[in-house]
Amino acid sequence: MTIDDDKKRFTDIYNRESDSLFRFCLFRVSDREKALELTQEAFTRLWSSISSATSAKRVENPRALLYVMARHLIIDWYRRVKSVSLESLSTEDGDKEFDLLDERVGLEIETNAEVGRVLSMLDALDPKYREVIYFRYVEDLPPKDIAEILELNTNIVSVRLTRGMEALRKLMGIPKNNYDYE
Amino acid sequence: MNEEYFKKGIEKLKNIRMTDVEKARVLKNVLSASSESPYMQHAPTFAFVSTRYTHMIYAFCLVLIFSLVGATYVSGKSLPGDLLYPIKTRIVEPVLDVINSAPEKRIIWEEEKVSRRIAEAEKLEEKNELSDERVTELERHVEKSSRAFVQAVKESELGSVKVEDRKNEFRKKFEVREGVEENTNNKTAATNTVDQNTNDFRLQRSSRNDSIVNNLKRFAIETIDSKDDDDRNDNRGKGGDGKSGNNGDQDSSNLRNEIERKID
Repeated sequence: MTIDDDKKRFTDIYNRESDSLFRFCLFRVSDREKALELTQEAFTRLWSSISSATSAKRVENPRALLYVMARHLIIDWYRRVKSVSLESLSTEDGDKEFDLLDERVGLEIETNAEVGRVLSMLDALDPKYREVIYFRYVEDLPPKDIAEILELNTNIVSVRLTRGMEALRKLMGIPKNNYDYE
Repeated sequence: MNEEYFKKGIEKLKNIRMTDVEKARVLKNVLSASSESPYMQHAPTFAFVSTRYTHMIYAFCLVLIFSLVGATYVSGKSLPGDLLYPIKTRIVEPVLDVINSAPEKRIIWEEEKVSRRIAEAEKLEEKNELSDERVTELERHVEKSSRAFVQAVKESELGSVKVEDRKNEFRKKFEVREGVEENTNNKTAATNTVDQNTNDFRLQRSSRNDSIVNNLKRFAIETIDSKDDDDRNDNRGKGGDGKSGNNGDQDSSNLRNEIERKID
């Protein structure tokens, strides 16, 4: 493949995934400019992977790769910038790396009541359920892709989805049978 | 909050996206990025060798280097027939041949190699380990080095007189040792007459070995003389000036006669 083919392929991926990646970054860091920077960096790394002449293996799932890169960048950003306690960065429970900030400072999401309410619901969830619910119901990713992004087993993702939804229902005060999000 | 409310919230969350301007700007920055991003981890220069086997590889390389250095050092003292002798003659000395490739250095180095071979013969003689195979091997080396010595002398920028002087130095070097050795042999012969039976065999062997060592020296001298003759014949054949060679001819002829008298 020539460099132009790579560029075209990359541009297609960018047009398809940039919004969702930006949204994910914004959801995690609560700052639009930071989210744009992180999105740019993740795509820059993807571009390096695609255009690298020494890359023996073509990128098979660019979407999952983008989210993986974005997660790692967000972790680095948290460690560098935010005052997060060492306990919450413990690698024994990797999900704790995604503890949200105490307050969504500088969040520039359109002030919308429904969005705000959903976010507060998600905030209230256990971190290990929060991400799987977000990826499944906001980004419409299948459990297989979620497993690849979170570097988990597909079964574990399915279990977390089920338990996450139960927890969400409890928070919303919805009885089990009335909720058809499956 | 009910189900419908939650669904609406999710749908509106999905509508959060970059503006067209932001999208275009990010794409442009990505495709034109040439400098490293501060987010990028700086890989060490030799990261490509950073595997879990790195330490093993380093340790192996160190052991290899020390082994080679050790083997080179120990091989310097080896004699024909020793395990490390081929390392000395086929690896170490060829490397030194390259280092001493300039004619002036080559002269000294080839003479040194002849000395080494003769010293090895003497050491083997002391240990009574001068077998025919080892003598043949030593002769081969001596011949090669002697010829190389003559070639280097010719290629050097010495004048014809100095060339002959240098060759005479070579001849004298090995002749002197021959004379000393013969005196030593006579003394040895004298002291050994006390216990004739026991020492007869040892004396015969020692005399034989001494003469082998002396023969090697004569062989070195003869080689440089014969190389001289060959070259002069070549020059005559090509119509070269034979005048300058006449005196050399006389000298080598006299020397050969002297050697033959000593052997007899």
